[in-house]
Amino acid sequence: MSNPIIFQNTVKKYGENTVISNLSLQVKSGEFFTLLGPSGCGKTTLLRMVAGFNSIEGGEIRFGDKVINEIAPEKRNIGMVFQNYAIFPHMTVEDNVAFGLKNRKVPKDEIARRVDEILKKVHIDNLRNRLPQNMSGGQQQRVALARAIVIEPDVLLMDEPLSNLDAKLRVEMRDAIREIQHTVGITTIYVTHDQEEALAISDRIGVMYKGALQQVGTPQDIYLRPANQFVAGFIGKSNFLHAVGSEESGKKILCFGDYVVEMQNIVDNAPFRGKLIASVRPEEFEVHSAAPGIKGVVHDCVFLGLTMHYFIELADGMQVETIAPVEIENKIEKGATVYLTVKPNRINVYTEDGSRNMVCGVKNDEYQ
Amino acid sequence: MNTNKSRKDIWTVATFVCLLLFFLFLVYPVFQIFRQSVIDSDGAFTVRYFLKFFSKPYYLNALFNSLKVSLCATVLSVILGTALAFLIHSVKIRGKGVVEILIIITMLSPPFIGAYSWILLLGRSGVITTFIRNVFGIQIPAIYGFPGMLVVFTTQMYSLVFLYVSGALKNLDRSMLEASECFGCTGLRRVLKVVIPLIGPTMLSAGLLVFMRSMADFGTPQLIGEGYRTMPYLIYNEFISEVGGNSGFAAALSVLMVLLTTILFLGQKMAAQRFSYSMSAVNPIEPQPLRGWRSVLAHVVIYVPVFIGLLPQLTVTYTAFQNTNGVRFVDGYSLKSFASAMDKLSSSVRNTLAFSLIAVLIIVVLGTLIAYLSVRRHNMAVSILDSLTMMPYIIPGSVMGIALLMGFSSKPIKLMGTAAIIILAYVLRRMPYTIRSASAILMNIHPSVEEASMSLGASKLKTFIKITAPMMRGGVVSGAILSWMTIISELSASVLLYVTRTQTMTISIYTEVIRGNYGVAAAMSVMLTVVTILVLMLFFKVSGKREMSL
Repeated sequence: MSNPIIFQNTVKKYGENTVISNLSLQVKSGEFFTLLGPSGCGKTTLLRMVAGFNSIEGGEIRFGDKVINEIAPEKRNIGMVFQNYAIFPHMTVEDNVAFGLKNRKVPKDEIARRVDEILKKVHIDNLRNRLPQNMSGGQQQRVALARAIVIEPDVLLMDEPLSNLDAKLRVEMRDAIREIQHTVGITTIYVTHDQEEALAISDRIGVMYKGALQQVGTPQDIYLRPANQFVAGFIGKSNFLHAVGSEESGKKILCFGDYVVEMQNIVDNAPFRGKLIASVRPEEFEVHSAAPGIKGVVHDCVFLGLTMHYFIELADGMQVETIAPVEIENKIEKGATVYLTVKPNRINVYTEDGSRNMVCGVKNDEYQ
Repeated sequence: MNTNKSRKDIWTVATFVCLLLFFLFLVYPVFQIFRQSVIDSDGAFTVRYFLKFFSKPYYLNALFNSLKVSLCATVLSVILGTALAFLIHSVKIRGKGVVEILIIITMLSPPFIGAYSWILLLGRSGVITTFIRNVFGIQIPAIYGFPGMLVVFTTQMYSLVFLYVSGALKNLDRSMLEASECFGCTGLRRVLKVVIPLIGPTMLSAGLLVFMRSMADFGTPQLIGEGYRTMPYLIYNEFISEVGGNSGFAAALSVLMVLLTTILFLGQKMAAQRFSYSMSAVNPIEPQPLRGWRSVLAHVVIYVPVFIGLLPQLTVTYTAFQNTNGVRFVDGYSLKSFASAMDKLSSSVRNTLAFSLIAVLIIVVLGTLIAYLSVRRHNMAVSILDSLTMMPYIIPGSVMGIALLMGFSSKPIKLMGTAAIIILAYVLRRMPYTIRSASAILMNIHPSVEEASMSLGASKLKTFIKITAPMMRGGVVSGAILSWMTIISELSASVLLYVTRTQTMTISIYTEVIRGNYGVAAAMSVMLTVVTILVLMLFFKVSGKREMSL
């Protein structure tokens, strides 16, 4: 059984500069966990702290009960897959994969058996005697994966492993990695800045920004109920509209100028009054040709086959994007005046500073 | 990328071992020179030697001479080398590959061999001088002194500039030239406004190298200077004539030399930092074919200087086969010179091979370690080590020789007269080539490869031995060959350090030239050149390219 990875008040400093302060998180045993965030948010730094290539300035990181803060990288029993694969260019595929086992003084015949097994599992057993030089990105990626898994590590760490691949291969390898991780069941931390990749591959996602976890949850949790405005903006597309909240005879009312909706899913003690931010994803709008609704003018429309995207300029000059299924009739022309309504059970409402989602059902499993 | 806390590990140990070696074998002897330059024979502090230098025009003149000839040689070499490099990269030239190799060969032969073959050509009874006198009845001025040294330095050292500038031009993307063309800037204007500024830093550092080498060269003024005294000449003679007695004055001269070269070196570094651009070409400049007289002119401009640069080698080869009677050349050709050269050389060939190979071995081990430290480790100790490895750039060979003699002539470490001191000089002077080549390749190896190895359970030492070192091999080997090639032709330090038992090929050639045994010297030089060319071919084979940079 694989170990959970526990971060407890973990701190990273470069000199006097604190990059990560007091981060706590539990990655469950056997879980595929993704650290997602824009570049510079500290996700790779955190991963390298787990690997032992970055020091830990405060708190601790544990594999199960074992504190690993002071253990040298080569003693941590980790498997790591690097962004540039870091295949040893002077060794054959087989030697690359066997390298970790040889360091562990595994008997020869067992090495042969395990290498054989893993090469078959990642579908590169036909390349075993080749040198990595002339192999494609996808093949090198498979070698890197096999090399990391074959040592049966306590944890598997992946640092943007797909970012050097082309779009089609990226999707293919994404599915392959997910499948292999599930069959071997190693606790995995995966770092990426690609939100679509994160949604597709992860059991749970931790969204990082400015060295702190913004939200931890399943892909659905994070997409449907983002904990704050940053998460809403970073995962998927969100339109942020100014709105005013008020309470009338026990009903919570959200006003977009003339257009008013009743919100039935606001948290009881939330500060739902005055200026607020409503976050509406493009698919959470409905476009009508007559009031009621938020009035706007169609600025541009983009036809994508499955869906139609409208870019609509609102009265206050703000531009929003909507998505609607393509229909043969009722085509809306550029320049037309339209009225937008929202699906109240789908949209999210944030405090004016964007720091808190006031809608019920926000899940954030930050570990304390 | 290293962000670990300063844990003590195998690399900390390596850093301190390297530092210790450098302090013992480089800093200590150099410090001895500084000490001796201000210490009286009774051991009291004195500035007598420096006063002596600055109060006599005789000595000041040598400094002035050195500066003058080096500066002139630098300017000419930079102009010639840049012009040739630019031409060969922008115009289609027949036999380009051969020309490039000939230029490298020009560079690799020791300058004093050039000096003495120019004497054979243009000296008082030189081939060309005699020919012109007999045919036209004109006595052309002899080549000795300033003009001779200028000819020797320029014809040999333009090749350094050529190699440097070629390297920079290879990294100049075609689009740079095309862009300037789009804005209506073409021809000579384009060269001046776009090309020269971009390769300027390279020209500057190549120029500095030429200047340093001309300043430091000892063999050339000794042979062709004839009264045109330069600093190395002065240092050598003051030191040699005062053996046993007081070498303080030679030490003072050395200190002045080192101060001068240090200032130049630092100045160049600062200038290079300020004005350099990092370039890498996706599409390098494509040589364009020229037609008619333009093409002929381009070929002449390239072929003639290369031929002149090669003349010493040709002369030497020719005279090696001439019959001699004592010190005079007589009619007829034979292998007699080679026979007597072989006689005299047997032990020095062995010495050259043995010393150079041992030196190269040490250079490979230390150079690889130091390259690793300086690229992957960033801390105070490594920066100190880094600057120490640069010191041989600014210490002229003869100064290095004197430093080693002063440092290791008596207990606790007595190396004078041994092979070890010559090997030490070789290692110190020629290790930078290997370090640079090894660092260059290491910079292209992503640290994640080493991290991958450690994540798979290999220790730091094991990672270095199994992963990093094998990946660095190409760079280390080509650097080592370069070190080896330049060790073989080393003279200025070893000429001070040798005893009969430890004589090497270059020293044998030098002493034969001094004695006037030109035939034997020529035969020896040919053999040295052959060895060098063989090593060069090995270098090309190993590095897989037909070019080199120093």
